[in-house]
Amino acid sequence: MDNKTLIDTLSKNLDISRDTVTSLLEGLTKTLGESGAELDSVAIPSFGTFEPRKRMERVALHPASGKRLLVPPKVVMTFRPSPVLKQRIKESEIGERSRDKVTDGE
Amino acid sequence: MENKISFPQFVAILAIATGKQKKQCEDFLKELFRIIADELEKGESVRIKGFGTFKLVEVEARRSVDVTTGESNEIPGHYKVSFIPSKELAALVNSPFEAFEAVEVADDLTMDELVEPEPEEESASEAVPASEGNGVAEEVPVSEETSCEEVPEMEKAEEPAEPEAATEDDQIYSLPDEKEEIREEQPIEPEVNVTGAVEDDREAYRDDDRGCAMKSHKFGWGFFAGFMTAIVVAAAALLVWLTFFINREEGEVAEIITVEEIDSPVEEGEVSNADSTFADTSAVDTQDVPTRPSDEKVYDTISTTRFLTTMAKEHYGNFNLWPIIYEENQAILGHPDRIKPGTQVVVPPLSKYGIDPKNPADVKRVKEKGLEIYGRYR
Repeated sequence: MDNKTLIDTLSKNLDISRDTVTSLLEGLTKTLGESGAELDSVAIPSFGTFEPRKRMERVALHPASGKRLLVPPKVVMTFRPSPVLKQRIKESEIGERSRDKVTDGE
Repeated sequence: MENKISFPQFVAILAIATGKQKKQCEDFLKELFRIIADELEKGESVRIKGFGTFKLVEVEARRSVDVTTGESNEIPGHYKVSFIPSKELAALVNSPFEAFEAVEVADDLTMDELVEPEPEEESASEAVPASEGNGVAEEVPVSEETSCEEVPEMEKAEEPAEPEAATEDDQIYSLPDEKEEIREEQPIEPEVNVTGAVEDDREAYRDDDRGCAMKSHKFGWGFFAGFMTAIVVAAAALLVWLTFFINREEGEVAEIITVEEIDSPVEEGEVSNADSTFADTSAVDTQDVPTRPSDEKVYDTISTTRFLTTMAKEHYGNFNLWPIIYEENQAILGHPDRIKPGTQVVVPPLSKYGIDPKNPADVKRVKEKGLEIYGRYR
């Protein structure tokens, strides 16, 4: 589902204008980004947790030049699906299919 | 920091940020994530502009060993939910570290030169300034899998390992030393020219200085007062010297010196002016908090283990103030991370820039200055 469809669906389901949906989505990105910068994780019930993780600095090789570089630390946003969501995916058709494929293979 | 924000809390934050009703935000979030979950269940991926993409990633079946029984078993293939943050979100989250850039590591560095630093999971916002000494900007393409543990991490040393280690005590101990230098510089002229009387006078100064040195640690305004004292001491020294010269021409050296010593009014017309000023200044001197090392304009040399941050910590007591030194020496410095060892820099007195290290607003301003400096080399 792309961005446009999502906004349309949201505005229809919630009965709010597309502009409102857009501004709310922007607000969501901003608030999540800001809490992420503080290393605060945000839990969405029955969906999952957005967890910022700090990656330590490290020394790595530049693939092209072969030079050693010190890569600075950074914070990345990770998402951990909740057990509920995992379960839903597992029990969904696509989840069933992937398990079937394994049994077929054996 | 490292808190878990619950859903209602997050709704409240979003409501404030967007200026919308809480109710509306709550409904919106619930609906949004419901839709995403539904789409994921259908096997669809969801892309939200500016936020990121949710999609299912297939995990191949793989063999594994049961840890308790030791039997080999198979983990069936499955899908897992993956979220790839958009560039915008990634940048927002990484904002505390955006000032960094990957820096080349010199091959000839040994482990000894490196200090194991990094204030591990510091609050992100604090971590930035803490490691200010480093680079700017976004990530540089680097192979992910490489991680040479043994490699010296030059840049680390630049981080405030030393400043952090420096305790309150260190500062206190280092003070008298530096004071000694200052004292020796200031009164040199009187010492050269004048006889024992002035010598005594100077002795009194030292005592005053010492007495106040104790106090100074307690006073936040010590830096300012200290600078004033430095000026006063310098002025006094100059006056003594001048008075001496003027008077020697008149052959009244001895008398003047005695007068100074007992701090009484001067008989000689020409000298009385200068002398009373001198008396005044010395009176101020005794009350003032003494010179701090940070208030002297001194020279320092960059080396592989001494950086602008190290100097800032040493001279100003706060490594975050390194941009001041940088600005003072801007003409001879290039990128703040690539200063050649051996470069001699002037460490200006803080008061020259009107910075009070005890004032968070000032420090913040200097930090921003630092970012601005890095910005020039972007």
